[in-house]
Amino acid sequence: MSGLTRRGMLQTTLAVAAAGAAGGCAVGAGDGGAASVASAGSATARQFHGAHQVGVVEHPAAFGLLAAFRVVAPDRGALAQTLRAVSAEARNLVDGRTPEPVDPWEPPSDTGVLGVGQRTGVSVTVAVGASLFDDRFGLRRARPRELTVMPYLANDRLDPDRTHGDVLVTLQADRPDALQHALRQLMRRTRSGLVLHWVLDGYNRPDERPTPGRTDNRNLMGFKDGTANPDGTDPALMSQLVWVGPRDGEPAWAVGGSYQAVRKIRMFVEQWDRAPLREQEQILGRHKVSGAPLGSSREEDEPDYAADPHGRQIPLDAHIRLANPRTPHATATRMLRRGFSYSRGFDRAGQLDRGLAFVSYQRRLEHFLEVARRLKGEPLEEYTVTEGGGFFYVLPGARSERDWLGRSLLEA
Amino acid sequence: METFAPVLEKRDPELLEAARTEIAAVEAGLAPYRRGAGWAPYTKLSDADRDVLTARLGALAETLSRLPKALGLS
Repeated sequence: MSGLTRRGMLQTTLAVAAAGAAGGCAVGAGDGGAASVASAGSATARQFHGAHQVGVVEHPAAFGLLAAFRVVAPDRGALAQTLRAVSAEARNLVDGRTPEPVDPWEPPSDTGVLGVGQRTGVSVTVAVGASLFDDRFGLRRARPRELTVMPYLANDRLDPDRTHGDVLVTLQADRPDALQHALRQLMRRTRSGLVLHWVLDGYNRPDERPTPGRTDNRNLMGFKDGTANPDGTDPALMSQLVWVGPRDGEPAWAVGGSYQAVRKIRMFVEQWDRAPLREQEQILGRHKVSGAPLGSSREEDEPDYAADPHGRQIPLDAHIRLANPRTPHATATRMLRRGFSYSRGFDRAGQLDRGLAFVSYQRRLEHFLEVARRLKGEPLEEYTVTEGGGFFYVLPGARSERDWLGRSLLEA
Repeated sequence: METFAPVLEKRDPELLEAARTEIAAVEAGLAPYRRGAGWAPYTKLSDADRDVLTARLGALAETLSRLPKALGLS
């Protein structure tokens, strides 16, 4: 290759392209160049094709990542091309397809981060924000009925740099390197159409044998999180709680999708850890160690609010009581939560910046909003603040090799 | 890019076409920031234009990464 390296040439060519702009404009150069062709990961088997995107109802994975993008595709055709590229890459990632070997003089088609020979074990869920439904792409009339820009809800201090977005990609995997691999793979195919808006990643402790009514997962306040989560493996329940159906009054393209609410909830863990155990338990409504509702002994025990009308066992303003008062209506409108804990270092005051990346899926956004209204003013607010997130709509699944995420929306 | 054009016209005209289009898009994005013989500082870019330039430069970089193979540098 006679002294001319790939990278050197790329930079030369870019410099030519940008014609002297280097003094004024930062130039985003290409990929640093990975070494080998690969695909890898854990044994979790997933299938990309289907009526719904596979990442929504699957069991919580050990690692999660949210990446919000702004769409810069100039028109509807370019947006369609971008979503086709996202779908093609998501199909490779979810199905764990081994990339084609390439000529050594081509860049590897795969980052190489995962090594060779294993499945990637990652799920990719693609959703769109309310901001996509403006005049840029002629989608104004296609907006799902309840999809709005997330308003101030309660105790919010929203940072514009961590809030909203045209497209949200949710990744879940059993290993953190699989998330990093997947995000880069998705971006390299969509450079001309998508610009990163914010990223938030973190972890869960997945249950070895997921059982409704129980979990080993704990949030950064030290309490179990996910005990009362509905069973994602129950298709009838998911159709009732999560998936938008043909009779929900939504646009036809949206059937098979779901509303996704995301909240970056920072937890003030220092203050929390100084609160007496009894106060912590009264605020949440559960015993810290066992996860049982206050006054009960087993985690899977259902709180009996009828027998406790004055809140002597579980205070009337306890988090679990407000979030789900166990009325027939509340039970029929539960959301599926798929959040994870995050840690972003520390702030300028030297306080740990950590909390919960709350993610919920529901058939109607109103179900989430009802819970948010009930929680407004709860004592837990003293220890948390919501700093970001947004409302999104999970696109229906891609049904075949020729189908792609967003086709029903853009070809409608 | 035009330095490579004679070779690419034979070996990979599709890549040449893509690169030319994308270089033109980058130049069009930069044009409003030309100040005489130089350029306005990066901090003067509007948020929207920064997005567009980021995307166009990124896309161009991905395309140019295919050049060595196309030029037959093996």
